[in-house]
Amino acid sequence: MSSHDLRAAWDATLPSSAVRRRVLENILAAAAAPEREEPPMKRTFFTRSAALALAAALALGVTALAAWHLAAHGVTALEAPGRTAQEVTLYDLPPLPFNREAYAAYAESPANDGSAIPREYTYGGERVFFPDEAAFTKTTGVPIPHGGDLSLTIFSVMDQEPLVHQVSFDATATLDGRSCRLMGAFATEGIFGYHYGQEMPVYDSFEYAPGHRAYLLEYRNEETDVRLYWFLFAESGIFYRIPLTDGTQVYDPALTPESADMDFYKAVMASLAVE
Amino acid sequence: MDNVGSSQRTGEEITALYHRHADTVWRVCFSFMKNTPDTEDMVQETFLQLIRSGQRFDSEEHEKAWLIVVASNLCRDALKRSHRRDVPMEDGIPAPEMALSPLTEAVLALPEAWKTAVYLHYYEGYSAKEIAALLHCPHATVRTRLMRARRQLKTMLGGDCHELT
Repeated sequence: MSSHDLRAAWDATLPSSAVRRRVLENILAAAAAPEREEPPMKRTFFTRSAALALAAALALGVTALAAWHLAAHGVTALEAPGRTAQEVTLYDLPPLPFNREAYAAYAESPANDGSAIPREYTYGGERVFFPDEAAFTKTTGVPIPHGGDLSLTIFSVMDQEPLVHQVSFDATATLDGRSCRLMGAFATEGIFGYHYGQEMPVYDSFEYAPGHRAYLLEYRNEETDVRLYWFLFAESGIFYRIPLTDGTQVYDPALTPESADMDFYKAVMASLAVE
Repeated sequence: MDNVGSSQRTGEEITALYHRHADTVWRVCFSFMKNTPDTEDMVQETFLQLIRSGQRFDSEEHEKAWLIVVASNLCRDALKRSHRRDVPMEDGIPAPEMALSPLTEAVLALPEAWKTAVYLHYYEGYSAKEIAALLHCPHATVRTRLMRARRQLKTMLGGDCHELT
């Protein structure tokens, strides 16, 4: 199946010319008629605020590309009622390590969900191939800078985009027999992620090592009112996220900052900290 | 060139606007509504929203993006209303049967958010970043939706979707 097949699939839903003409006639007739004060189907979805949000989102989309602000899951200027807006800006961040063996093992395993596809692409006029530690080092920088007893198993490399040379990965971080999910994104050109207008309030922030600050973000699903929490921090050129939950399960609505073992997460982050 | 309704667009302008974007708006609406009668209503409402708003855009791309977002919102809103009332969109009027290919069926069966991302990316050619801007969600979310949609299509169709990268 190709992109062409997909386009054909959608085109198969297009109406006949008679239907198409009828819809146009209806539109012209409705547009010519005086507006009803109380339409039979009240349309309240596209409010002025929604229009403004759309405009802002479009503007932010353009701005975000030009700006060197970033956010792996959406963080630049963060604001919430009663909280001070904070800005998380990562720049001049050193490079990353790549566990080629773990990645290759995953890519070849039945567990590979299709996301771990080695790709070839051009960087600086040269063709490189992922996963390849040398290519990684060349495009991203340096060695794996984690210490302590932390072990990382990268099990998915999500995407590589030649435009900004962004690579994000999904890993399990294990410390003292306990594990958590660790997601990271990095790029060679200083863009570590994008934010297009979604606000993720900073619920809390703290130092996990001297001079190393992490942010705990709160995401609220407006439809379900479920709240999710993510740690966000940067180390050695990698923009990290840790969902606030045990193991590799991402979403656990029952787990809150109050009920979670924060010391464990802080220890994981501290293990990634570089002097 | 006579003015139409309270908007400043003339009949000719509305016709031109419709011909420029009718297919795009139809595809978006059909992916939500999955039948012709409801899709007709939503397409009509989408264009009327734009006409009545009197909005003008600097480019056709911006105009199209606006219509895509509004069409999606309208359809989502209509579906929510119909779910709340627990009645089909077209009460008592059976939707005409359309012979859809297995691929079309599979695409239409994708979860709403994935389907929209797939359409915008693979049909309209928007990048993940542009889709994130349109849908007002994080870039990473769009990429995840695309990845999961590819995975599900692969599962449903049993084929190789690696071309869809």
